[in-house]
Amino acid sequence: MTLYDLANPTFFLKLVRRVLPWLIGACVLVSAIGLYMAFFSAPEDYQQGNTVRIMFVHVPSAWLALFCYGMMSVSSIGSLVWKHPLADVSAKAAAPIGATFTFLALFTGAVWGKPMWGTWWVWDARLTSMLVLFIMYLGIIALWKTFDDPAKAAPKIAVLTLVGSLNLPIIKFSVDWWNTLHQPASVFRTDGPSIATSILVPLLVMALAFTLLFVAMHLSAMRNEIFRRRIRSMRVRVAAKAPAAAAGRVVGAAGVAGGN
Amino acid sequence: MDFLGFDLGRHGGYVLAAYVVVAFAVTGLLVWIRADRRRLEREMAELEAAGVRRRSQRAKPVQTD
Repeated sequence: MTLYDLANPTFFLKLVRRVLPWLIGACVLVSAIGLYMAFFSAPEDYQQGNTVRIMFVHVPSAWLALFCYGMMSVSSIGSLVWKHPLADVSAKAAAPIGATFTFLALFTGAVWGKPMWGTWWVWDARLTSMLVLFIMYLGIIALWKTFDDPAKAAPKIAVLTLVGSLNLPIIKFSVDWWNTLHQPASVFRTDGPSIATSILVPLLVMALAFTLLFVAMHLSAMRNEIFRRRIRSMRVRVAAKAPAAAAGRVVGAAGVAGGN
Repeated sequence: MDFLGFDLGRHGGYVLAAYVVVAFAVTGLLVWIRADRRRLEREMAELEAAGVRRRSQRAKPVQTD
């Protein structure tokens, strides 16, 4: 199976129908294991106490917020360069999911920040760039809604999405480039993770659960978007036939009138 | 703070708030996707019942040699 096979929406829908139940099953199982580990296996942090458990939902949410936008950027390239029929379907379907995960990253970060930093929010580079990401998601969602024809909207929104992708390295390296209250990377580091294994393992299991959840929701949302476009094309066909039929009736009526 | 027999410590309210909001947001997203799918399937069924077909569903022309 290649990317070109997936260009056929009917083939893609068949694939989704087959894969989705397995994805949902795996997601439920991994989430259950991850939540068990987060609350019953992971110890309290020696400094953060129980608030470290917020990290098990905060970090995966933040990763997925970035991953989702990265995927939308790749989809935008696919839409602009190869005109892949499902590329802009993928980009459009991912936006609300990415916005939700970005909101969750911001919210869970705030409720962790209050007891640990003594404040809900600071305008440091990491937090601000994540807020910018959230606003970009909302802008992209709003822009999709302003166009009637998705084919006309796709290239414009793809360009905007790609411009917005410049924010991704800023988010990732903000903690290195600027002096931020947000701590630097502690998992993906050149010298290995700086987190204790007892906390790292539940974190990675929860990240896997969130990723499975994202993939399942994204595939479902893509299926909905394909249905939406099919309905639109059916309505356009009806509308295109309607004036012709009306014109036929007018000509017919004129013919009848002329005959009298 | 005690929750379901599990001691969440003095910052338990924050931990609980984080998980509750994540659960609400994820459930909301799932419900929205499902409701959207049902609405779209119903709409498509109505159009098909009215005799509207997609381009790819049009009957193929009969081959005459």
